[in-house]
Amino acid sequence: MQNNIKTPGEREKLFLRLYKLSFPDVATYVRKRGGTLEDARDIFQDCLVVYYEKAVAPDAPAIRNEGAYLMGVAKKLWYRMYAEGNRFSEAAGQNSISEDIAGVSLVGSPARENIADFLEQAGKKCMDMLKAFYYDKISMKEMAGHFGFRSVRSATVQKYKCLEKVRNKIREKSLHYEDFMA
Amino acid sequence: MKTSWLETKQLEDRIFRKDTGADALMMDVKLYLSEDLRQKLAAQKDAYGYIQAYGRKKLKTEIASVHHKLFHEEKHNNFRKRIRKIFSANNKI
Repeated sequence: MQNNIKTPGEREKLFLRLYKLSFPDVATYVRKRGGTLEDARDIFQDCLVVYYEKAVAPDAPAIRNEGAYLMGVAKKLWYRMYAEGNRFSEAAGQNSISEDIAGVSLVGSPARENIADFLEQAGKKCMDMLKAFYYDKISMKEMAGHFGFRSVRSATVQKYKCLEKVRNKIREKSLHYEDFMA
Repeated sequence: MKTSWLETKQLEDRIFRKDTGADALMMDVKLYLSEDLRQKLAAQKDAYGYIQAYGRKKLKTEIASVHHKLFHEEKHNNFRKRIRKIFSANNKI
C-alpha cells in the first residue's frame, strides 16, 4: 500500500490533497467539453475510487505521478459517460487505466444502494470487518487490533463466520449479484 | 460450529484458486457429490461481489464528505472560488 490510508481520517487527508492537486484540472477538462460542475464532481469522485483501489491492491505498481494518473482516469470516464449516454462513441481503449476503471460506475446507481442496504442486514460490524479485509485489504493482524480481537486467530474465525452469514443470507433470499445489476 | 467456518475457508480457497494437491482433490469430490455445497460455492462467489459494492459505497460516502467540506468550509474558500471561476458564465468554452 503506497499511502497510509487505513483509517477514515487518513483517507480524508489523502482525498483532500488529491482534490486540491487534480480537481481543478479535471474540472477544466470537463468544462471545455461542455460538462457541468456536477459532471466534474461525479467523474472525479469515481477517479478517487479507482485511485484508492489501485493504491490498496497488494501487487499493483505504485502510482508515480498522481496528477497524470487521475487525469488519465478522468478522460476515460468522461468518454465512457458519453458513450453510455449515446452522445459520443469512443472505445475506452485497452491499457492499464482501462483495466483499473472496469466495473466502476458513476455515482448514483440505485442498484448499488440496494446492495448496500441488503448487506447491512447481515450486521454492520460483520460488513465492516469483511470490507476491511476484502476491500481495504488490511492485514488480519491490523484487523484484530482495529476490531478488538485478542488474537489474529479469533479475528480470522470471526471473518469467516461473517462471510458465512452473508453467504447464507444470499442463499436464503436466492439473491444473485446480477439481480441488483439488472 | 468449527466445521462450518472451515468449510467457508475451503470454499474461499477454491474460489481464489488457493487450494492445491489433496485439498483440491477432496474439494472436487465434495462438490461433485453435494448440490448443497455447490450452491454454497455459488453464493459465496456472489458474496465477494456484494462486499466490493459495499466497500465502494462506503468509500464514496467518505469522498462525498470531503467534497462537501471543500465546498462549504471557510478555510477552503480560495479553492472553491477557483473551481467556480472555471464554470462561471464569463469563462467561455
